[in-house]
Amino acid sequence: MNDSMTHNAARILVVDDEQAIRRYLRVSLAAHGYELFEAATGHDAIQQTRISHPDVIILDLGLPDLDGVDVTRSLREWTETPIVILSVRDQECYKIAALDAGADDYLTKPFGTGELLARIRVALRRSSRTETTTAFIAGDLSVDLANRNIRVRDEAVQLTPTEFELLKVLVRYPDRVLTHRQIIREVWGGASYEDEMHLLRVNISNLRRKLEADATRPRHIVTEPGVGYRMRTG
Amino acid sequence: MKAAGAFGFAAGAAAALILSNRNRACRCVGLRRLIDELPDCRSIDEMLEVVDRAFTGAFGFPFAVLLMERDAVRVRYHSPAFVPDADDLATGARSIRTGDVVFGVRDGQARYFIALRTARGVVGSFALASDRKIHKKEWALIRSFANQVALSVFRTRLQDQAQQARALSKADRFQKTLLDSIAHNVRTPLASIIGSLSSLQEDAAVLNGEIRRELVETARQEAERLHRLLRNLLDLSRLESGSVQVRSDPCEIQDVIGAALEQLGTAARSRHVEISIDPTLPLVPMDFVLIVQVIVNLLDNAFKYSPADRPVMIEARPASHSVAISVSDEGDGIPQEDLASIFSKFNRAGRSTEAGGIGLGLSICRGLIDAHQGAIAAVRRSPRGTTITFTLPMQAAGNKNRTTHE
Repeated sequence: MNDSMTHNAARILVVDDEQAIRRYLRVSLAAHGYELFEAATGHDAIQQTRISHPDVIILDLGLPDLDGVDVTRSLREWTETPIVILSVRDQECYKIAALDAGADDYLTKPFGTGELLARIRVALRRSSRTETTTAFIAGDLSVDLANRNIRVRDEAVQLTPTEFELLKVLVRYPDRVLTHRQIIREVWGGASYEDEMHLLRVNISNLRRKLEADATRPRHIVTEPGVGYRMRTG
Repeated sequence: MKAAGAFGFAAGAAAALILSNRNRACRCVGLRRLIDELPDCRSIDEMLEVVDRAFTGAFGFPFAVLLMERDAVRVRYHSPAFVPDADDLATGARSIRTGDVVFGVRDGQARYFIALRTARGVVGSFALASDRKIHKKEWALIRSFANQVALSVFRTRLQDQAQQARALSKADRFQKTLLDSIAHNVRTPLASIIGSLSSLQEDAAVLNGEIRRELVETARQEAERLHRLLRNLLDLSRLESGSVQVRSDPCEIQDVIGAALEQLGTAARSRHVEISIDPTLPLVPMDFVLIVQVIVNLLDNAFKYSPADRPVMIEARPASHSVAISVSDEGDGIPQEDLASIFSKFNRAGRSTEAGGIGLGLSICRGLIDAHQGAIAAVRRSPRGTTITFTLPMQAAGNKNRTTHE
């Protein structure tokens, strides 16, 4: 709770047509010191974003007028404000569509408040960051991209050029889900999705073998089933 | 009208007699064929084809079969040369009403409508058109023909009804079991949730912090149980409607198992899980998300039905042209006679409902593995416990246009 207080009065726009959800979010997010704005439709969301300049947008997909993916796409034409999708749709195709349209994160209803707060913190970190991350320490892993220095439990790890590129992409978006397609586009330029999908799996597997203490229970490179991967730095 | 008809075509009588004598033998064969073949017919349409072959072959008269369907007379069959019109339908309806033969003349043609009588009333009318007199012996054969048709319609309809009743009662039973099961499995957690929340609201003054925390925790766990139930129900309905699209991407077994453990969250972290994966396993083509779901369901079962202090084992190894993944526990095990049926809907092998779940998990597993052209089976472990093993083919099945990159 104290952690989120440090983002003093960060402004959050909640877009959901369900009043019960808006009420729950208003109460619990306000209790953590956030300033809340609300919208019940897609058009309202776009207008509210122009007027109140929120730091984070929490967006439902099933809105009465526009689909949340379309709202995301139209917001992305002019703003980089982080968007966290909050939806009852739990099938991967919806997650991928929203993320590819430019959403930063995706949380399925029902969800725990703790999980939502964590995602909001990641989104706020992203919007306040001016430079891209090139170095961080998470548990026994330390990454310094600028000096190509990767260490696990203080021992240097040798990566192949592809593994390094892959790690660079993951680290550039810490704690964010990246879809398979997004990663492939950045690492391989994405000629044939199927070929690259195979390369991606093999390289993730190799990276985990080098970076994770237990590759079956990865702590750093987390799989989002059917969607992509997330670099966990927290 | 009937009397006039029987003798009204004297001109053709002589010729008919000669013809009828010459063809008697062949007509009897036609009738016998009809009697032989009709009982094998499974539908009215099939039956009418047999009637056409036999009757046209034996007599050559254009004919039509009118049947009572939902209180109306309908033409179910007619020869190309005899297209019944509204007047014919009315005459046919009269023969059905009277249960007798009705005779009429149209365009210089004699038309006979023979009621198709059965033990349960008249089912229709057999109509034939003739431009010559029908000989008495010939007429007797035609009546026998009509009798066979009537019997056959009656029998086919009974079969249809019995089959519909069977299908209906099976669907009814399934729906009832499903609803009972859902009602029970929804009401139980809801009772805890509503109970806990109303306590918190109404008895706030007398509850100490510890009890309040316990009530909140109960409400939350039970709500999560409802969520899992709903997910399983949705999966089942997607499986049954055939709307599950199975992808076939090369996947790493270790990643799949890791994702399943991650999805189980605290449930998996609070138990000792032993993982053993053959390091020589290549990537295996599968639908990552669906196989994660299978492993989650198997682990969830293993956690539920074995003591919390005993380990649960996951093993992955190569098998013939496939990979075999198994989940083992040290629970009470499943009685030998139930091993085959645990993958059927709602089976819980006599286990108590205490551990929750609707018994849908394993039938979903089987549905998902079937969709991968794999196999799933359970065995008893010695000295105690259960091992459930599923296999996935190494080559993507049914994906001929997909190349593999090894």
